[in-house]
Amino acid sequence: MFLQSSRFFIPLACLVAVAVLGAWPERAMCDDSASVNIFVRAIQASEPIKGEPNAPSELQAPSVAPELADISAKLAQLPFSSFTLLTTKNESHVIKKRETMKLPNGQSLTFRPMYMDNKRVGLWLNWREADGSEILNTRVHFDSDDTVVTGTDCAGDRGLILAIKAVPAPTPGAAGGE
Amino acid sequence: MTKRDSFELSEGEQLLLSQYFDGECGFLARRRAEKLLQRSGAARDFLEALQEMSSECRSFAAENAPSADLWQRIESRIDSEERAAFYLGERRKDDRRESFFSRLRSQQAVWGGLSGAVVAASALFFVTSPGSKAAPVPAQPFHQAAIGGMAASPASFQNNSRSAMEVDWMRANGSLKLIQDPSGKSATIWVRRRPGSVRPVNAARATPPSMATPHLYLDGQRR
Repeated sequence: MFLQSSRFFIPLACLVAVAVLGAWPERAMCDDSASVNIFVRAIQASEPIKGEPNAPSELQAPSVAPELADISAKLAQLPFSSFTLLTTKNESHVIKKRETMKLPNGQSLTFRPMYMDNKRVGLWLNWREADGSEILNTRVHFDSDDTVVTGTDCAGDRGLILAIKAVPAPTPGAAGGE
Repeated sequence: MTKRDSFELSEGEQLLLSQYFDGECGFLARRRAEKLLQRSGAARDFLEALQEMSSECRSFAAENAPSADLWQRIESRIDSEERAAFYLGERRKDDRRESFFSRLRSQQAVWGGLSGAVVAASALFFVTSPGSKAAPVPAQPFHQAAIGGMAASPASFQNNSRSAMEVDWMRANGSLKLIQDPSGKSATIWVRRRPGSVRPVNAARATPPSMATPHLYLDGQRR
């Protein structure tokens, strides 16, 4: 039998061992059935600031809704002086599973959490227009206590901003979200 | 002319003459061949034909003579075969149809190489895994040029990449602007689209599809 041949058995055993060891860290790092809370805020930016972006004059405090206070420093760097919260979505999603979130203006945000350890999260994002055209397609890694802010121009000298945060899903029975 | 001249030689007589020509006859057979040649012209013609054929073969062999080192090469090949037989076993011909597993067994080198490749891939996995604590990914300075297409390596926004935002790749339908936040930990990703290609924030559903399609730009170039 070929399995009894040491010449064949040794490479096969190495192959099996390596496959098991290769799969082990990922299992240990995050369970595929683990969930992650994706917290998305859609923000409308208005009152554009004319001139060179990131100029010192733009660093004055903009008008930011109280719900956006945690990202006000980031918003202050954008060439708008007013930011209002359009909608908030907070959903729990399974790691490595692709999900699509509908945004209020017809756009969609498809994402797939790649991993989530205690502090770090990897996220694939695909932000699309209502007609399916792609606005942004990226894969980012960031800390779970950080918020990824991305935005785009909209008609009427306005902007649409998405603030995305991912945190480990709480254990059953615990309250989720921010 | 004898009676035998009018008859062709029998098979036994041809064999006798061939052995005589080759010098393979004994005393009695040689005597019989000589008597046959004396009394039969056909036998003499047959022997003459053998001589002509032999001379032609010699001239052909002389024209196509093997190189001088032929025997040396043959001997070296025999030696290598003997050495191979010592390590791998005697060469045998297996007339049975090869099964799938026997073909696999004959491809041990492929399996060995494959397992080596998997070992290398796993080593890379250990090293580059985001959750790996043993080998942190070295931080790279952020370059705007790396964004907007398929970046070859992750772009990070802080020296300590463990706590910085990293981008594997980024693609957008407009020019991309990354605005680093005051803490230097992450950046805001802004997709710039030209006026006219953008849509109202809250009026997307009301816009007809033909009018809703924006002009697409990639890396500042119109598609």
